[in-house]
Amino acid sequence: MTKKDFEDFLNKVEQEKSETPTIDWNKEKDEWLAYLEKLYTIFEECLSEYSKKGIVAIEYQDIEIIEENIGTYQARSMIIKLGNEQIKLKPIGTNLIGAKGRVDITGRVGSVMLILVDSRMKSASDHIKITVNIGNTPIKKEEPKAEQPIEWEWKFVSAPPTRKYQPVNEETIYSVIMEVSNG
Amino acid sequence: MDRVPLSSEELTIKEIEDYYLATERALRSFYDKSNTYFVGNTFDELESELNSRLEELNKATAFTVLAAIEAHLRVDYLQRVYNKDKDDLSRKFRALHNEKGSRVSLSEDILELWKDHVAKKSVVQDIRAALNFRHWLAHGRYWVAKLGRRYDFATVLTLAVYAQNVTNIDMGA
Repeated sequence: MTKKDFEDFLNKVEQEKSETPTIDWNKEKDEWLAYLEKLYTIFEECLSEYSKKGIVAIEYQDIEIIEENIGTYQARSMIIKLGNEQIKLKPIGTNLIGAKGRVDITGRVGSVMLILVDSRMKSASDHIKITVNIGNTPIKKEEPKAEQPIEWEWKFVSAPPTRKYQPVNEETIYSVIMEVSNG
Repeated sequence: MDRVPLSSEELTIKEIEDYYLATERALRSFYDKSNTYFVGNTFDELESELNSRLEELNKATAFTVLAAIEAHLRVDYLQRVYNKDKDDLSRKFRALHNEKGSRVSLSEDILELWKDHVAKKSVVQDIRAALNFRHWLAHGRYWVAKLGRRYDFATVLTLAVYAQNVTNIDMGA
């Protein structure tokens, strides 16, 4: 390893750093919190029939989240009370791997993860595109597509290793509530 | 007394070291943030999980090294006895074997005799002390071990090299 090799390495890492896009973390935080409220609205709507009857009660609790690059901020945690059961929706943050947001749902017997991802994703493996190569020639070459704005959507994540994504709707919300409460 | 059928399956220290290095690399590669398996995880969660796995790899491989040191010492003991080597240590091993056969204590018997036949007695003491760590790991780690020092893969690896050097037993280190 010569001095020149080391200097080439330093130049390479410096260039990588300069090519990394600057992120407006305040904007990221605000967007994630807005999506969090949208998630809570979906849950409230799905449970409104039962909360009107007094069978289900929904409460909120302010919690503190600390994230690198963002710092400390407040967010709401949702608590769903039904009978003797209590299900918590705890916001985790936005500075995540491969997702714009995450909420952990926990009940008496289990937990499920909700993540905010590109609406087109159906599983964790959709997060990468694979190009097969023989030698230096790629077999599959994708035509460059015009960059489309991402539509973010909340998805339930199934347990590893499959990590498939399920949409958040009335059916899946009821299913998850029962799953984490041993219903 | 019946001879112990030797398996020749004892690992060399180098084999264990190679396993450790390859597995460490594999873990670091798996716990890379580009792995879609971790979509949704925070970076702290990723780092914490990786550190737990590396810590466990460290302990498990340290145990394997200590087991290998034991194996090499026991094989050496048995071979000296079966070959009826004429040196002083071998004669003492034969006397021990006549008394206890293959059911000798590594620490109380074999290492006790080695103590008087090595240039550096402290290495034998260090091996004995490290056996307390081995016992703690082997028996499920359920008690607070008073080991006197911190043991990990790097420490026991160094110990294996010293053990090989002072005993002239080829442990593949």
